[in-house]
Amino acid sequence: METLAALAHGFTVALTPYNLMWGIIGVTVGTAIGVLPGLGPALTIALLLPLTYQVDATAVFILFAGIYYGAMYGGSTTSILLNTPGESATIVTALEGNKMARRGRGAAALATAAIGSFVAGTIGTLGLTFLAPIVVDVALRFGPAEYFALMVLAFVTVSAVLGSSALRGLASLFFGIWLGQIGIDLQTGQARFHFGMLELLDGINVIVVAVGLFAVGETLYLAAHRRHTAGSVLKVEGSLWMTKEDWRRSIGPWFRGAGIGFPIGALPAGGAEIPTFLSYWLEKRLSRKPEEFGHGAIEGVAGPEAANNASAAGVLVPMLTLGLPTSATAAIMLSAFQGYGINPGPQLLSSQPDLVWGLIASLYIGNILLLVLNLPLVGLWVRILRIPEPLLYAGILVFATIGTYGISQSAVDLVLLYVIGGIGYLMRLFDFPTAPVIIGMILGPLAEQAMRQALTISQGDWTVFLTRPLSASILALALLLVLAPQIWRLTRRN
Amino acid sequence: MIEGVTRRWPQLAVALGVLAIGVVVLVQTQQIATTLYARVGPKVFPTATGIALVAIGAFLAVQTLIGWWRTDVRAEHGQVDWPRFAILLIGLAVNLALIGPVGFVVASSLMFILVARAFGSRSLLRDAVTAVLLALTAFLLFELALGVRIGTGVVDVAIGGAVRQLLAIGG
Repeated sequence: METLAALAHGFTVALTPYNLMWGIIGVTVGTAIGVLPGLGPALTIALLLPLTYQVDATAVFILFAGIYYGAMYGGSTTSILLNTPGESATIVTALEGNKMARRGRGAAALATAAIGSFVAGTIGTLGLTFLAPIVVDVALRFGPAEYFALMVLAFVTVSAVLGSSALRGLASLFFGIWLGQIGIDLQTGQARFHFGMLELLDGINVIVVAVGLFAVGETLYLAAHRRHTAGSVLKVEGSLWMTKEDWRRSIGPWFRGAGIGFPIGALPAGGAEIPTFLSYWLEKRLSRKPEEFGHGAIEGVAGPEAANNASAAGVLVPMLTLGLPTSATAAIMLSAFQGYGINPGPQLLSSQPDLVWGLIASLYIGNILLLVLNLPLVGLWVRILRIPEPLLYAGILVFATIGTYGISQSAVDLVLLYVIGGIGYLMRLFDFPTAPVIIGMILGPLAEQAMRQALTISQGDWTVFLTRPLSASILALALLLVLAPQIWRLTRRN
Repeated sequence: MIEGVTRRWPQLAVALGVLAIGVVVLVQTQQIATTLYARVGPKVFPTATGIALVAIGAFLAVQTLIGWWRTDVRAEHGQVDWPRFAILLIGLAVNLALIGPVGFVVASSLMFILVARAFGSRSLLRDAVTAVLLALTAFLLFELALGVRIGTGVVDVAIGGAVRQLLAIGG
C-alpha cells in the first residue's frame, strides 16, 4: 500500500507539464538514437551530462530514463529494417525480424516488437516498483564490507562472465578502475597518477572516456575497416495491425520474455544479451513450427524484444536501490547522480522520493508514449535511417567535440578524447568489451571507499570480508563465477 | 607453432601493452605520497590494480603463445583502408589544431568535411553546407540558449558578438 501511495505521488511529479516535456524529449531522442546505427544510450547520456549543471535532478533523470527506454524501442526498428543490430542485445531481433521484413512482413515484425516492448517494459517497470522497496529493506542492513563484496560480484559478472573472454573483460575492467583512480584521492587528499599535469588532478571526466570509446573509437573502426556501402533499408510492408494468428503467436513470447528478462536484469549481473538469447532459445523449443525459425518466425522477434526491454527495467533495480550500475548506461547515470551530490544507495528512496518515484512513474508514461511513437509514426524513424553515413559519422564527431571541449575548453581533454578513442579502436579490433571500462571507472572509486570504510571499522583487520557471513558468501560466489567456466573449459579441452 | 606465433604478433603486442600499462601503474603508484595517517592508504587500491593488469597482460601473452587466443584480426576485420584512415586522422588533427586559436565553428566544419570524405562522400558542396549549418546551429544553441561557451576562438567571438548585436537591435 505504501508503495502504491509513493507511486501515486510519483505520477503527480512526472505529470507536471515541465517534467512531462522532458519525458517526451527523452523518448523522442531515445528512439532516434536507437534507430541510428552507431549511437547508443550510453553515448547520448554522456553527451547530455552537462545538462546537470543547468536543469534540476528530477527532470534530468526523467530525460535520461526516456532516452534509455526509447533506445530499446528504436534499436529494434533498425535491426528489422536494416539488419545491422545497433547493440548486442538486438542481434536476435535482427535474426528473425529482418527475415520477416524480407518476406514482406516488416510491419508485423515492427508491431510485435513495439507492442512486446510495451508489454514487457510495463511488466518490468511494475517489477521495479514493487521489488525496489524490498531490496532497500534488505540493503539497509548491509555494511561497507557487504557493499564491497557486492561491487566485486558486479565487477566479475560484467567483465568475466559475459562476453567471449574472461581475461579480456578483466583487462577492460581494471583499465577502467585505474582511470577512476586518476586525480585527488578523496579520503587522504593525495594526488594520484597526475603525470605532472594540472588538468589530471580533477580526474578524468567520464564524458571523455565514454565519448572516446563509443564515438571516436567506433568512427575510427568504421572508417578504417568497413568496405561495403550501407545496407539497403527495407520498406515497411504489410499491415501494422497484426493478424489474429500474429497475436496468438506473440502473446506467450511477450510474457515469457518479460519473465526471463526482468530477473536477469535485476541481478547484479545485468546485461541484456543473455536474456534475449535465452528467450530465443526457449521460443524455438516451445514453437509448434520450429522450422520457421531462421526464416522469419514472429515468436523469435516477440520474445527477445520483450526480454530486452524487461531487462532494461531490471537493471534499474540494483542501480536505484544499491547504487550498483551493471551496464555502461547505468554507470553514466550514476555519475549524473554524483554530479548532483546525491549518493545512490538504499537511502535514495527515502531521501529523494520525488526523484525516484517521479522517475519510476515516468517510465510507465514513457512506455505509452513510446508505443505511440513507434507504431503509427514508424515511417518517420525509417526516414532517419536514410541519413547518409558520411554525414552521420561526421556529425557524431562534431558532437563529440562539443561534449568534451565544450565543457572544459581544454585541448588536453581533446587529446585525451582522441587517445581513448584510439584505445577504443584497438579494443574493438581485438575484441575487448568496452562497457567494463565505464563500469570500472565509476564503480571503482566507490568500491575503494567501501573497502577502506570496512577496514577502518575493523581496525585494519582484512579478515572482515571473510568473517561476515554475507560478505563471505558473496565473495565466494564471485570467485566461483570467475573460476568455474575456466575449469570447465580446461577439463573439456583435455 | 613458430609460424603461428609470427602471425599472431598483433595479439602479442596487445598483451604486452596491457602488461606495460600495469607496469606504469605500479611505478606511478610509488609516486603517491603517504604522509597522512590512514588505516588503508591511497596506495593499496592502485597497487592491486597494477598487479592485476600485469598478471592479465602476462596471461594474455601466454594464451597467445600457446595458441589459445587465435582470433585472426586480419581475416575478421579485413585490411585497414589506410587512405581513409589517414583522412580521418587529419580531420581530428585539424580540429585539435584550430579549435583554440581560430575557434569551434571553423575547426568543426573542416573536421566534418574531412570525416565525411573518409566515409566515402564525394559531394563536397553538400558536406560543406551541412558542416557549416550544423556547427553554427550547435554553437548558437550552446552559446545563446544554454549559456555554455563551446568556442572562444577568434571567429567564434566575432560570430557571437555579431549575433548578440543583431538580437539587441531586434529586441
